Amino acid sequence: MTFSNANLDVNLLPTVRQPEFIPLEKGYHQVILLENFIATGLLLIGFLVLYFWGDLPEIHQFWYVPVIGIGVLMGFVFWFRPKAFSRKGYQLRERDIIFRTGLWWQTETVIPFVRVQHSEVTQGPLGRLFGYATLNLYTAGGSKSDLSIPALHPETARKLEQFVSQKAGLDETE
Amino acid sequence: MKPNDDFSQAARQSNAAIIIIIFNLYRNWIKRLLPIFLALFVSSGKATLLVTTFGIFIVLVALFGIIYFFKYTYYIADNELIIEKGVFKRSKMVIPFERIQSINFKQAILHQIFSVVELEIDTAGSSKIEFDLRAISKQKAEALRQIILNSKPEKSSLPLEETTSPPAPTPKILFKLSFGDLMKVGLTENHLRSGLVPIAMYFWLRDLLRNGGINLDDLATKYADPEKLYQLGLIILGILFLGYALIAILISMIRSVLRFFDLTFYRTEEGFMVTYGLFTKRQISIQDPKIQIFKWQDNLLRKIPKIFNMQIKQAASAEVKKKTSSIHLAGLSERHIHQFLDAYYDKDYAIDDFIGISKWWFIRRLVIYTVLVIGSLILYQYFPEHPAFGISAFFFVTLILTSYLYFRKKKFGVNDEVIHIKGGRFGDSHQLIQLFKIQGVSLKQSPFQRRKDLAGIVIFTAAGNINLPYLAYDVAEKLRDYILQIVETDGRAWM
Repeated sequence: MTFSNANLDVNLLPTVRQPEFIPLEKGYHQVILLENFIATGLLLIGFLVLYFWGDLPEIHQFWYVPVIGIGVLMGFVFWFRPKAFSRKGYQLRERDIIFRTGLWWQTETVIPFVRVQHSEVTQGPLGRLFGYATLNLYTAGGSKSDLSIPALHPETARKLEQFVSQKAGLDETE
Repeated sequence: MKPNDDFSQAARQSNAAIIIIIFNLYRNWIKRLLPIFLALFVSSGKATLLVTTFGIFIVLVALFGIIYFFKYTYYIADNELIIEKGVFKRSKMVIPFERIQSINFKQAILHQIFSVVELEIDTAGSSKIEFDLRAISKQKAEALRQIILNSKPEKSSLPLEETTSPPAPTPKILFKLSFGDLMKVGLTENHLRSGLVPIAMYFWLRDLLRNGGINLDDLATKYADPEKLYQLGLIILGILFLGYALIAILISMIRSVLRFFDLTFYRTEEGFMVTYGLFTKRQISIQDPKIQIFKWQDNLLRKIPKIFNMQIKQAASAEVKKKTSSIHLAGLSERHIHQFLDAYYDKDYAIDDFIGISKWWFIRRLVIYTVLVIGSLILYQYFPEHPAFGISAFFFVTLILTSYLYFRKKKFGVNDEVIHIKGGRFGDSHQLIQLFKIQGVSLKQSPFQRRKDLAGIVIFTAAGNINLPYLAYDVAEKLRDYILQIVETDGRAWM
């Protein structure tokens, strides 16, 4: 096995900081919207159950406190999640894949293909309904270094998965 | 002296296993049955009844142990270790060699008397295999270990470099710890950590007395002159503290001598071997490819004799990522550590240039904690009856101090083979990772870091993550790109 390990000029290295992140599927905003409505609905149902059948006399007097609470919380969620989603994106390079996430606390994780141990494409119930898939890449570096790229077109996800596992040499060991 | 060293025929454990099996059975059963025996004795009051039941129990257990021994056989077939055992219910265990990660030896006192070893096998399975080869002779254990570890590459599908011919059976001694070294380890344990013991004892005593009808708090207010009580309290506290310090030091000295007695480090063909222990002897083997991180650190006390604790962090298996194991060693001098590292690295691991973290890391904490100190002091001014506010002010001041120490010590340096990360607060810690063993890298930015053009970096390895907070953005970016470049071009397998 050969490998070269000459000293490198750090300034000549390719850098990751390029504006070439591929955004996730725009249509996924619908799924987020639907999820938010479902969450709001569940919270309101919980409130109504407590209001009519719960053993809490104060709730009749101060019913507006939980309602305003739910309103503020879901208002924030409705505003925040689409914004955070728009920032998510990935970059596929010759030897690694980069995933960017986070609106305020931003994270960019790079996984070299040679360190991918296992890869899979998953689809949740909403994903199946709307036609989106998630690409999962697992490494030996623990759960924080595993990548999970959501909101991909199922065809894209499968292609990506094939590409990555081919690069990782996972196919040969099958 | 070598009857069927290929283990192809079913063999029993060493004869000494009979005694060890029976001893373990007695220990387990007596623990469980003692209350019943006592109850029998107390209720009947007849000593003869007790003696006869006890006698029957002793004989039955011994019989069971003997049969168990004769029914327990192990052998090797088709690159699998097979164990058949059981008296009433027979069972057969099959352990494929490729799932065996490492084989360590353990010797309790009984083992040492009969010069046999117990095998501890680390397997790469999600389900834990209950493995109890309790006592086989040292030579057999050694031979078994060689067979299992040497056969591994053949079955593995990984393209391993040319496999070495049968490893030399005599490992080279790297270094050995003396009795004096062990005393130093005991003296410099973190005694503060167990400082809660006397306090706990006070509360326990007080509760005991209260249950007996004596209330210490009442007594104090009723009878004692507060001035005298205060003095008495101080004296008792002093005695307690001194006594505690003496006992703590003595206990940790005895403990470290027992635990690390005769600690010897060997360099073997496939990695390292460590043996240590007085009553329970252990022999641990570490294979080079599995080592992910070397970590060594001292504390304030260990700075005086200049000794370090060392941790060798390993990836236990490629499949089961949750399972990592690390080996802890104590009492190593800087020279020992360098002997160790020299033996492991064929490349230069010494780094001269270190880069620290941004001052903003400290400034941010300084501001936050100062606000908290002032807040606590103001609250204390208004509510002097609540000492918690005073204590919290003191607590935040110590946080400022430790943050400053952390900020001063956190540094990293790289060359073309390793990354060396320094850290620590009162003590100093060092971590050394081969760059090609890194699994992935994350760059993190909080809103504050974005304003100051800073970024944190997280390095993922198969034996845990390493954080470097608050680097200048271009430094973090260069470090990340450099690590990726090495990982992606270095052809060596990370494990």
